[in-house]
Formats: sequence, structure tokens, C-alpha cells
Amino acid sequence: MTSSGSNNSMWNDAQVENVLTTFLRQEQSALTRVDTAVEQRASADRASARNQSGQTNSLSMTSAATRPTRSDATGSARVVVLASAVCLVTVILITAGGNPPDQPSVADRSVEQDSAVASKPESPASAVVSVQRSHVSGRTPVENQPHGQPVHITDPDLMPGIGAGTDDGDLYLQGTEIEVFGVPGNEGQFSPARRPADNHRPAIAEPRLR
Amino acid sequence: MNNEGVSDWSCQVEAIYHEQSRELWALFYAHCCDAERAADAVQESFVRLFEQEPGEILDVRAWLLRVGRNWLRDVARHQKVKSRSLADPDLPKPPASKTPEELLSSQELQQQVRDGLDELREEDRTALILRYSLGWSSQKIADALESTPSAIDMRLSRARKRLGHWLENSGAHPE
Repeated sequence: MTSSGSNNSMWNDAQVENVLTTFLRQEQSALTRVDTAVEQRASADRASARNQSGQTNSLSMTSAATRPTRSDATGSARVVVLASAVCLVTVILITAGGNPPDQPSVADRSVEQDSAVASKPESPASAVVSVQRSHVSGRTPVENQPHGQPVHITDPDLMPGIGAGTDDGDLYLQGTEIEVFGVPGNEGQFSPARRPADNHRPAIAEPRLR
Repeated sequence: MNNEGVSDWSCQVEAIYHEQSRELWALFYAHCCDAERAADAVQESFVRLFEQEPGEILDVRAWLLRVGRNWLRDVARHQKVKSRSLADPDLPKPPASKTPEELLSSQELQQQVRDGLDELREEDRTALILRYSLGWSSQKIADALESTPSAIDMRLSRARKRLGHWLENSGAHPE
């Protein structure tokens, strides 16, 4: 086939078909580069997916290797329960330890009030001592308060003992801790030497220190 | 998409490409009369298909056609738009298997055929390209173009005659 300027050569259907088929086949070769590109892209995607999947599997296997077994978990749970029980017993013992062995526990006394506060509300510098019934006949630390600090026992059923000096009916802090005696009616637990007077003041009167 | 999903999807896209790329190229080529640009449109549509999630596209063929045609339209508006390449830019292009003796005898005739196709109506050109590029039957072309085989046959006959006249008038000689 040639071209030669203006010529009146006739093209029949078969000739047009032949030249079209040849021409279009050649034109379609432009897709060859896209064929290669798509294959590369798909291959790269698959390789990437395989790599990531491999890493995930590796991580899973590592996790499985270090994951505690059911028996390990049970053992750990037992340790936790045991530790909790020990702590609970310790707390109970500490709580009960405040009471001398020969004295009834707080629960045995059918205590109506749970707490009392030793304070001197008249003065903002007063020591405020929270006294728990569990500390009845026990001692409550009073820290960072100066010696001779006035104290006030708000609960009439409680009586000050060691650490609470009295002078002229007032109470003064005499140490770093204050002792409070229990409720009236349980006199047997009080030391006669510390037996309070009728006004529920300790019998031991010490000089007022200022 | 998990790793297995990515791998499956890439396999699906590759299979879709092998199944539909020639038809898509033919339709794009019929639209723009530029083989390289039609190839770019195919590539662009598949670049975007790779980026889709599996199951998001109900009719993949229609979706690819729409993407490619939209891209061609954008290119026509902005001639500077470049297609995104899937391939490594450093990768050498495959050697062209041009054997002028086997294919066309001259670059001049190629251009005359190209110009002749460009002069046809798009519907006629599409029928010609599907028949002589893909070897499709009239029935298959009719299915693709939502027509009837007899209408396709008439369209093909008319298109061949017009192209023959064009080639004749442009001075091309058949062997």
C-alpha cells in the first residue's frame, strides 16, 4: 500500500478492513506499557500484603509465646487472692491491735457513736484531734502541735488521759499523742490513777505549760 | 482493608484488567482518536480502581468507563494534564514491535487512516474499532453499545465506505 498524492484508486470493503485491522493492532500496542504497569502494581500490592501479613503473624507468634497459659493465669489469680487476703487480715489485725487483749473490742460495746473530735473550737490554733472509737483506751498521735496547745474533747462520753493535762478545768496538750478513755459505765477498764473526776477530767493534774 | 483483602483485591483488579482493558482502550480510542491517550485513560482508570475498596463498585465496567471518559474530558480541557503512571518511571519502555512490512508500509498511511477515523462519527468509529481491533461480532458490539446487530452491521458498512472514500480522497492507494 502506498500513498501518492491525489489518485482515484478505489478502496473496497476488504481493503478497508485489512488496513483497519493492521492499523488498529498497531495502535493497540500502546497498551503494552499499561499491561506491564498493572502487573507491576498488582505484584507490588501482593508483595506488600505478604510482608505485612508476615510481620503480623510474627507478632502473633511472639505474643502467643509470651502469653500466659490458663494455669499461669490461675496461679497469678491465686497469688492475688492470697495477697488480698493477707492484706485484709493485716488490716483486721492492725485495727484490732489498738485494743489491749484484756479489753472488749469496739464492736462488743455496741457503740452508738463512731467518732469523736478533740478540738478547741474557740481558737483556730487549737489542736483538732479526731478520736475514733477504735482508739478508745488507745492513743491518737497529735503531730505538729506545740506542747501546751489547748485541746477540747467534744464528746462528753470520752475522757482525756495521757497527753491531756488539765489545769483549772482546761485541757492542754502535753505530748505528741493524746489518750482518750472509753465511755462511762465501763469503768473497769480505766486505770484508777487516771480515773476522771466527776467533771470527766483526768485526775492527774499537771502544771499548765505555756 | 487487611493484608489478605489487599492481596485479593489486587488479584481481582489484575483479572479485571486482563478481561476488560482492550475493550476499554477501544472505547477510549474511539472517543479521542489517540492511541497513547486512550492507553493513558485505561491506566488512569485502573490506578483509581486499585485505590478503591473491594465491594464499593457495583458495576466495575461502567465505573471504569466513566472514570476514563471523565479523565479524557479533563485532558481535552487541560492539555497539560498528565496521567498518573503505575510503572516505575525508570523502567525502559518495551520495544515497539513495529515491522512496517507486516503492518503498514508508511507512517503517512497510518496518519491518513487515523485522520479518516477521526472524520467519522463517534458511533461509527466505535463500531469499526470494536470490530477490527477486538474482532467482536455484531451481536457483541450491539450488546456493548445497546443497539441491534442489524443496526451495527449497517453502521459498519457505512463507516467502511466513508473511510474508504476518505483514504481515496487523501491519495492513499490500496495494494
